[in-house]
Parts: sequence; structure tokens; C-alpha cells
Amino acid sequence: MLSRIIKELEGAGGAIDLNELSQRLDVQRSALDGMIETLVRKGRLRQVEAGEPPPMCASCAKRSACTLVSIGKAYEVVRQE
Amino acid sequence: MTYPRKGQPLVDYGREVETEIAKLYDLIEAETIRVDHYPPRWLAIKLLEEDADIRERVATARGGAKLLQAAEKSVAHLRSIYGEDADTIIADRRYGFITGLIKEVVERPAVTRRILSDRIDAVVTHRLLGIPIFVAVMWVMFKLVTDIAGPYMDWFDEVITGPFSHWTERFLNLVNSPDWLVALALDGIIAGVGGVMVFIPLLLFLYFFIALLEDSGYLARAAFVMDRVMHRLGLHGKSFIPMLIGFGCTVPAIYATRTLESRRDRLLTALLCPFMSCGARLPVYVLFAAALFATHQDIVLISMYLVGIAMAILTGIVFRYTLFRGKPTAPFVMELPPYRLPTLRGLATHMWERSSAFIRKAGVYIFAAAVVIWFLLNMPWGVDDQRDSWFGHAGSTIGHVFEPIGFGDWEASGALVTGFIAKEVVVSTMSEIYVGGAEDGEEEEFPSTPQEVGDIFEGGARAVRDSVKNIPALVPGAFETAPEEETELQSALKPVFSERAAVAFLIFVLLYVPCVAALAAFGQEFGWRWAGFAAVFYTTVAWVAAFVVYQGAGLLGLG
Repeated sequence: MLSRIIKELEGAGGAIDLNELSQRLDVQRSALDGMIETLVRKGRLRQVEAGEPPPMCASCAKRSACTLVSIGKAYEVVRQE
Repeated sequence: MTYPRKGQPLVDYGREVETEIAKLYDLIEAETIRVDHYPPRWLAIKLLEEDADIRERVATARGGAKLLQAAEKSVAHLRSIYGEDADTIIADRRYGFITGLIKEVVERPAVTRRILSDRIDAVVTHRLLGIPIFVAVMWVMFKLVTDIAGPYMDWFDEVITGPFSHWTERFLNLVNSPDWLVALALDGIIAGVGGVMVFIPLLLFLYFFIALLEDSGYLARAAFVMDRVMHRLGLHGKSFIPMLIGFGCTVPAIYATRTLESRRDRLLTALLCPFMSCGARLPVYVLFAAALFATHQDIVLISMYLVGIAMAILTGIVFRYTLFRGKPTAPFVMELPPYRLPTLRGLATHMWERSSAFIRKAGVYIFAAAVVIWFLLNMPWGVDDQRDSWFGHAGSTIGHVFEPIGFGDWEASGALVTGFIAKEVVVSTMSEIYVGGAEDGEEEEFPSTPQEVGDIFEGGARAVRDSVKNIPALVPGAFETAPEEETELQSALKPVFSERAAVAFLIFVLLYVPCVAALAAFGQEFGWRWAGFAAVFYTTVAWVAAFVVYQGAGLLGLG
């Protein structure tokens, strides 16, 4: 199951939506969340952080609600060197 | 499914893992190693998973050291076979078992599972339909924005060129100001800053619709769709965030590349950001679209945005194979935010934040630029014809460069140069030249103040009525709308620009060197050599693109 997640991601050719992924694997979204968590713990996926906020955002009080800066949950495959 | 008989393991971990489990199991049995009351198979699996707590307990048990040693050997053996840790393989198998079990024993109603949000997403993020839908949404937005804002812009223009100018003039005369000060105020500041202020209604409505798309959750989907394109360019999935911000303003977009980890991704993304047509360029498009393409304004606007995106894609591909050869980017999975009904309060806040930033900019930079440009237009002091002013001379010299692309006159060339301060300044400079610099006829008799106050309100009411009437005009032929009134600047541009020269001019404005603030951001983030490269690169690209458009259209006999 876990290896299929990575395989689907590698084959997707671009970003993939978590809901779409759960449909492709025929797994419930809630179950998928657990699997992704395992993959993150194992270092196979990495949660993408919004990173250092751009300076103009520092003064913005609504940063947490900003759809541009905080992109919701996103993960990327960690490439083994 | 046959339930395991007593003693038979529930999950089969696969031949290799089971072999290692069996090895450890046998060792535990043979040495009678007891750790609390854990069953041997469970203990073996935990050791393969390298569970820290269990390892600690085993270490203190009798015979534990030997068991740990064997477990480490097994883990290393499995890693050499699978290339990953045993616990990943074990978790993988467990999830496989769970999924299989659920499929067999849980019945779910098949249809109702697909909630509305998923069904919408299936369409708007569709692999083939996603991008056409995005383009259609943008077209509807521009059509609505220009139709609704048009009457208000006319009203603003009337108020600024009419009552507001008159009152300023009367006040300055009242306090015995010298003539030059009156001219600076009217032909410099009011014509220049006012020429840009006219676009406030347009930007208000644009920001309203963008906030609507953003708050409803659609914008995130649009970004998601565009990300597939980004990925083909070898760009990181997160690159879409700066590029999306770039549609507002290039400066924050360049800073927003800080969210990317590798310098290569940051630089490549930042180099593409200026192609995303920022809000400052919009007044230039709208001015020319209204003056020369009155019936196809929306097409002109959306084309500019699409040309920008196309240039970004093209540049991305070229850079990927030249300057930025590198590894492909990592695949990416993300959670799309849920669709939400935007609140009026949220929309108003977004609209206000962005519009007030625009007004502040107009109040400071464009004001300063308007004053300086007015002086340049009137130097040497008291010059009769603006063509002979310092500005005029500089404009005609630079004009030679622009001759092959359709706008070699000093007015257009000079305006483009001033656009380096901020792209709206192209509009304010043109307004100063064409409107402020126009020979005033005889002293006209101003209407009385009460009448002008009445006119302002009447004009406002008419703007509201016309803009409401324009909404059904989105459906072709649903409503006959009165042709919009031309502003002074629009009618001044008509005889000066041919259609193909106007398109070439807009392409040039879209692509040429970003404003000084954007270049400064570039220099700060990536060093001044890259900023210099960017300035030369964009201007070259802009010139070549405008040349292709202007000469190409000429060869085809258009415009």
C-alpha cells in the first residue's frame, strides 16, 4: 500500500490531490492520512512547509488564513541520493 | 477470507520478512528469552521495526544482547534486499491487509460517497478540461470587470477633469499662485496622477472578483491545474505560489520565491514571475483597449495575460535546457482547501487592502514621477513646444530604438522609459503629454460650483445605472448598451497609434523590464548581476516579441 502511494506519485506527472489519490488507490481518505503520516515518519515523504514567509507578509495578520502563503497540507516525495 | 486458525499469524509479511521473523522467533524460543509477557512473534516483529522502547527492554532481558544482534543482522539483510527499512515493509503489508479486510467486510453505499466538492473538483481539475475552464473563468472575470467598472471610470474621469480641476485652478488663482504652479498642478499632477486614479474603480472590481475566486477556493484549484504545466517545465510544485502572487505585483512574488528550497528553483521561478501580468500593467491595457479596440476590450485584456503565461512557459522550457539544467522535481501530493461560501466581510477586506496599496503607490511614486516629468516637459524653462523640451529630446533619441516596432515617436518612447518607475506611470506620462500638454483653447467659462456639485452626483447615479445595465450584456445581444464615452486621453491616442502598433506597444509593456522596485527585489534576492541580466533579458524579449507582432501584422496586411 505504502509503496503504491509512492508509485502513484512518481507516475502522476505533477501535483496530485489527496482526494484523487485516495480514489485511485481505492482507500478511504482517513486511512490514506495515516499511511501518509507513516511515510513522512519514515522519511519517504516530506511535508512541504510554507517556508520563510515573504517580508511583506510579516505584517499581515491574516497570514494563517491566506490561501497563497499557507497552502494546506502538501507532501513531496523525498528523493534518495 | 479464511480467518487464521489459532496460532497462525494474521498478517503475512511476505517471504523475506517472514523468514527473518522465523529466525528471531526460533532464537527467542531456543534461548527462552522473556520480555515482560510479549508473545515471541510480536517481539520479533517489533525488533525488525527497530522499536526503541522494545529494544531497551530486550537489552535488559537475559539473552537480550544476542537477540538484538540477530535482529540488527536481519534488518540489515532486509534493507539490502528491499532498499528500505523493515518497518516500512511491515507497515506496507499491514496497510495492505487492512485495506483488503475493509474491502471484504465493510459495505459502503457507492454513490453518496462522492460529495459535491469532489464532483466539482473532478471537472475543474480535470487533466484536459482544467486549463480551458481556467481561461474561461478569467475571460468572464475580465468581461464583467470591464463592463461593470467602465461607467464608474468615465464618472471618475469626468469628476477629475471637470469639477476637481476647476476647483483647484480657482483655488490656486485665488491665493495668487504663479502661472507655472497652476500649470504644474493641472497639467502635471492632476493630469498625471488623475490619469491613473481613473482606474481605481476597475481595480476595485478586479480585486473583488479575485478575492471571490480566492475565498471560494477556486484559485487554489487553478494553481493546482497550472502546477501540472509547471512540472513539465521542471519547476517545483510550489513555484505556482509566487507566480500567482505575480498577477498582483511582481515585487512580493519575487520575495515569495523564498518559500522554495533550492536556489535553482528560486531563481528560475523569480525569472518567470515578471511575465505574470501585474496589476500595474492593467491600466495600460485598459487604456489602449478602450481607445482602439472598444468592442473587443475583454479579448485584448485576456490575451495579454495569456501571452504573459505563454511567454513564461516558453522561457521556462528554454531555461530548463540552457541555464538551469538539473534534476527533475519531486512529485507532490497536496490537499485542496474545501470550497467555501465567501463572506462579504472577507471580500471587502481583501478588496480594501489591495486597493489602498494601489492608492498609496499612486499618492507617492506616481505623484513624484508626475512632478518630475512635468518639469522635464517644461525644460528648458518656458519651452513652447513639448517636443523641444528635455523630455521631448530624450524621447526622440530613444524613439529610434522603437521605430521598427511601431512607436518611434517621442511621446510613446518617453512614456515607456518613465514606466520603469512603475508601469502605471506609462499612463500618467501619456496623460500629461496628451491631455495636460494639449493647447488649451480660449478661457472656457466654468460652470458654477453648485451646478458642478449637482453634475458629480448626477454622473454618479448614471454610472450606477449604466453599470447595472451592463451586467446582462455579458450574454451577447441581451441588452443594447450605449457606447461608452471616450475620455480625452483615449481620443488623443486614436490618431497616434495604428491597431498593430497598439498591440505591439501592449506586448512591449507586458514584457519589458519590470519596474525598479521589482529589479531591486531581484537584486536583493539573487545579486545585482542577475538583476542586470533580468533587465536586459526582458527588454530584449519584449523588443523581439513586439517586432514580430508589428512586422508580422504588417506583412499580413493587418491594422
